[in-house]
Amino acid sequence: MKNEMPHPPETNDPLDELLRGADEYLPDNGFTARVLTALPAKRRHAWRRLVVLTLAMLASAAVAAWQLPAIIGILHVAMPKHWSAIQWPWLATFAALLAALASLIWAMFAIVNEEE
Amino acid sequence: MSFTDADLIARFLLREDQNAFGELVRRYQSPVRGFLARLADGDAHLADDLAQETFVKVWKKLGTFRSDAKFSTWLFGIACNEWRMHARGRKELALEELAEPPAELAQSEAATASNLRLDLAAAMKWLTTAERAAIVLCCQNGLSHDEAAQALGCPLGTVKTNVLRGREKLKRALAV
Repeated sequence: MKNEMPHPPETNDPLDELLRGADEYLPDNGFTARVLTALPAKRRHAWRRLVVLTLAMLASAAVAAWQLPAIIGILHVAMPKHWSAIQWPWLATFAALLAALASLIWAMFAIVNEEE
Repeated sequence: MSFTDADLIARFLLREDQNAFGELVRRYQSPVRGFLARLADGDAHLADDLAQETFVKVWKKLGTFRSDAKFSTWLFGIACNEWRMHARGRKELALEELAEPPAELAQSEAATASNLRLDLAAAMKWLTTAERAAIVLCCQNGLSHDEAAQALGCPLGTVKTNVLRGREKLKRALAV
């Protein structure tokens, strides 16, 4: 139970003697047990969450990619004529990938911050 | 067989060994609780709550501990931050100068003059929080001025001044 705290230097100063004398050991009285009970859930749970988030992100990206041509087709009909020149499918895919990447980065930052 | 602090920290980081962390808490609970109790004017319940928060923070941040500093210095630094956050929440300025000692202590100056010794705990109330923190770290827990400056997050000169001033005040209050 001995800690590696340094000891105050021995001097003949009566004030130092008083201060050393007042530095009494405080008995644990269940303090350590309370601290251990108050600890947050183990850190590996956070990584498990990251894996779940990543899989969910990949699954939703796959569904979006699968359904994207149909959605784009519907939008294409409703769009003004001069917008038709734009490569909407590519643009939408790029935006979806960017959003997915951003949410993954955000999730990782959130987990790292939580750990700290 | 007795493990060093470094052994316990390594065991915790490599295997998330709860027992190793528990041993660290058992080793340091007394100095940390004592230190916070001094800052909290002897309020043991508040000190225990803050000490508990301190160790929870240690658990979360132990991966960032760099072994070039002493574990005790790092630990007291976290305890100081916990105290600061608590004081900020109560709109107090932690580790700042108090303009005057409390009224009841001003009265006890007369008692000092008549050679009555104040008890050390009461005399500590003469000190500002910054002086008290510096005295407890350097004179009771044996940290060097440099280590105390690291833990308190203030310049070395400030710690030296606070120790010097604090000791002068204590000597006057205790008539030693």
